[in-house]
Amino acid sequence: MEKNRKIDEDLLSFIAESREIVEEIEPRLVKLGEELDNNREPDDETVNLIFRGFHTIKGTAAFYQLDSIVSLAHKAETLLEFFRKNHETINASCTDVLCHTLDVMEHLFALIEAGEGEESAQDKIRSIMFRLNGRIDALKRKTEDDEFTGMPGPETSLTFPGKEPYPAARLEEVQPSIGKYAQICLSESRAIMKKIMGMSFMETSEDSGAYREDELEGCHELFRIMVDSAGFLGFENLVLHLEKALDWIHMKDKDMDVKTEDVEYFKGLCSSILHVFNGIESSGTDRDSVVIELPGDETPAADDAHDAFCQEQDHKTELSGIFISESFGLIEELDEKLALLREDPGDRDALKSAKSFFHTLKGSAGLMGLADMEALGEKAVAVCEKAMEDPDCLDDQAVGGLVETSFMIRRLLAPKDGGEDFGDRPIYRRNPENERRRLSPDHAGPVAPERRIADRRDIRVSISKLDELINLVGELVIAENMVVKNPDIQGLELENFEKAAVHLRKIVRDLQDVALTVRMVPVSGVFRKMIRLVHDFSAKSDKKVKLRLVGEDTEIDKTVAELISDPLVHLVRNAIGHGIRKKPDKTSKEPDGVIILEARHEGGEVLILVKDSGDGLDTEKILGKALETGIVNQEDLPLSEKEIHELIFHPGFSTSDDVTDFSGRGVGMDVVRRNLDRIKGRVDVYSRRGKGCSFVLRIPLTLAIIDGMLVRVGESSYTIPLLSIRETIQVSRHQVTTTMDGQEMVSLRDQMIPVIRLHDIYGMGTDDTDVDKGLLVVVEHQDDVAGLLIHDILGEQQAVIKGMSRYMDHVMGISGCTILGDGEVSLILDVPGLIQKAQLRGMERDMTVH
Amino acid sequence: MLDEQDIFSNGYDEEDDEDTQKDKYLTFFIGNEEYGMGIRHVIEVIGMQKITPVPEMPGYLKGVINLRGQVIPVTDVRMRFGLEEKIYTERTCIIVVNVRESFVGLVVDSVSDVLDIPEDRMEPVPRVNQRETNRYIEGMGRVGVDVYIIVDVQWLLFDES
Repeated sequence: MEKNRKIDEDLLSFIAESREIVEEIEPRLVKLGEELDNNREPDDETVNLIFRGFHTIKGTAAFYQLDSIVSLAHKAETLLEFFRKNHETINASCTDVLCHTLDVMEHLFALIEAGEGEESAQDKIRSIMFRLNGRIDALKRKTEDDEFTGMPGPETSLTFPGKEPYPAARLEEVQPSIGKYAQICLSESRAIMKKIMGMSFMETSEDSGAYREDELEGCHELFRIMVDSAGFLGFENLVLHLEKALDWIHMKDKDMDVKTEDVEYFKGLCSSILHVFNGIESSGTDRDSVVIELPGDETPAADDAHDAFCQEQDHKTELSGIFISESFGLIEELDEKLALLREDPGDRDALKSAKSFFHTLKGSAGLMGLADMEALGEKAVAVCEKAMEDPDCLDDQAVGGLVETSFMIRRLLAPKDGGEDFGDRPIYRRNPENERRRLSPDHAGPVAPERRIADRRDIRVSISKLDELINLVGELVIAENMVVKNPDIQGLELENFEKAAVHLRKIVRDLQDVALTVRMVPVSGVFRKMIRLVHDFSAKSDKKVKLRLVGEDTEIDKTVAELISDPLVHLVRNAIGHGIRKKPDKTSKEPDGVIILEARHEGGEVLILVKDSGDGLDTEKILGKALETGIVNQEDLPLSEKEIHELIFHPGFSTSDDVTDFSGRGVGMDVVRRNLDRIKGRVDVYSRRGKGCSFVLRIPLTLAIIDGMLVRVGESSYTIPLLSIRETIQVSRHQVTTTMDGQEMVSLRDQMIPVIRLHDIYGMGTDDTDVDKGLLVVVEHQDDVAGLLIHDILGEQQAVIKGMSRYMDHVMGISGCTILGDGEVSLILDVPGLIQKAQLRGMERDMTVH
Repeated sequence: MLDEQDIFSNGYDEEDDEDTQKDKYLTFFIGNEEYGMGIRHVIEVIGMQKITPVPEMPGYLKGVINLRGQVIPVTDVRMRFGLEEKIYTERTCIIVVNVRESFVGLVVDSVSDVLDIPEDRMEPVPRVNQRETNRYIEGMGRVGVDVYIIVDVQWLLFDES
């Protein structure tokens, strides 16, 4: 295991660049898929771009000897070639596979970054290679230059483990009708499913871990088989379902505690898989089946489980006993024929039989997911075919090669480890007549990395350097303040000094502006991720959704960009899951709905809007659910429409009846709001029944500097973030009402606002200011409003936020501190925390009084 | 945030100067008693300046100060020892220490000198008085007729009791 391998800068740089390339081509792949779905020809420009992307990644990966990535990229290129040739049978399942290839690449990038080797991802890699091969082979057979079919031809038979050999027809392209071969796989899969459903762990959940473990393992293997065939046949949707089952199995395998609902969930999964089978049988495609998935299915965790699974599982698969014995039988017979060939290379019958056996072995190896064995079989078949055309080329060396191949296959089937990988060993010597490559995974060979020199307008800078730069600028602002507002020179008439000070201030402010923009990135990065998301979700929920991006160039701080990614995902999911309804007219080409993602600057904030053209929020349903779950009580009614809309942000709220796997679990909106809070932003919702729904995210342009109002309370000064301030008012004593528990309230335009005396809630001694003599700063956070009692307003200023020292614990209501012009430290108030603190203090007071 | 190390440019690298810093103690007064602390952790000594109080801190944590653009917390050593608070005079100083990556200021009545107290002049804590605050004592240093109570800075900063 190559853990903790020293990662060099260049490698990291390569990964960053490759990630950018992936980001570039992913949305284009999705778009390409859509075009193909609509029976439009793929756009050459786009295809070329995607091709170049893979090619570049391949080249540089070769330089770093990242073989898996090279192989993947190479396969992707091969597949893309068919796009270039404008092949009539390419379809969206090809782009889907390519998208998943990108996913696997991303996974490998992450592994490399972490300093780990590729071993843990072998399963993933093999699986995706298999699928890529499947697509390529299917397409190859249709082309003129048919080198070899790769699938059993009409004259040979395919031995399916444990069954009579079927006369296999050529595999038809899957849509619109499924070929005989696919039918075979389908019926086998049904048999497998039946077996699984009959397993005892499905009946009861309380059993001993021991035999359940065996069953689960067996189950796992069976699902693996189905995944591979499904992948090979291009049923991407089915693959997703089957993989979910695999994840479940893996999770439960480690989990001692299998509850009834877990088993129910699994049963649900199985029935949905059968549902998809039905869909395939009736319509030839797996895309029409909408699957209902059950609660407890947490997609992110499932991905983790899958990853963890791949890492932990020994990637040498257990082979089904039947398959092994069958194959051994074939090999015995094969060896006989090869022996005959050795004696007499002109023995055409022997040659024909040998080819047929290799063919069969290759086919079943393919089904079992044994890429190496499959590859061996493939090559052997090719050699046989060539020999059949040109008998002279079958010399001793060639026959020897065939024999060795058979030997290798035998070793592969050895039950001890369940299989072996051969890596690079060249076990087939080149026949000068043949153009066959060595029997090893395709090597791109070391390729000089394509260094793009001339057209680079960018330069890579590490984020920590940028942070340092921005900090220094922040310090500069403070220092400038300390010089210009220095107490030593207060009151002095220094004309020249003043002029110089103004000049200095201007430069510093400009520098500050530039420094802030240095960390800004266009929001398109985040938006484009949504393209794939929308594509996947709308496919999953069987709705046609169009996505429009507006204002992609709008820039936001890099950290903010990273933090809004999740909320946006939630919002988009909800929009597709809840907002947009499927049109009743299934044949309509019109999309069921449109989602607009928009970004723009407004004031000192960035606005991001997620608008959908769906039905809008259903206020009745929301209110109903809120009453049901007790979030709202009868006495609280009536609520305004806006108030009802706000209810969706309540933790634990959900109106979904049929719980789809990504929305409707009642955690989405609450999390969105909390995420926005973390970046000191806010989210609001505007909706019109029948017209649609808009979510508006407001995010401050920068997190390090805030505009604050400096106020004095007693002896101390505090800074209040301007964004939290609604207004400042002067109150007189008779405007204040005091409730029984001592809480002072002020009436302001029909609203009762609690008064917060800072020193009071912090227990820092009594503050006997008369309300008359002070001012009330009305602050707000989302729905909470409060009035902060202060003595004086000292001014407004831009405050560079400095965190509190690690030595001190976090204080509720204080978010940090800043250094004032005169060098003094001023605490920055955190309004939400303050309000919360005041509420707590109120409760404490209640308890002591009563 | 500026790396705190940058501001305090004493150039003392802990590992390098272990040996030269060993046995050196900064002595200071609290009341009538003279104390010492290992100079390893001491960054500098500054005069008293305005402390901004921070709410909800233990009594001895007086607040924060601005030290050349860096905001650091300040602890009153007197109060930490459980003694009565005293009004700050012009002799009151703040000793800035760096312990476990944290910069903290320690308010003491006055600061005297840096003394060499070799190991053989150091005596362990007498077990006679088992008062609570004896935990902060690392040992007793003897130089001539003077006895210094050597304080454990880590305890001073981090002990929770």
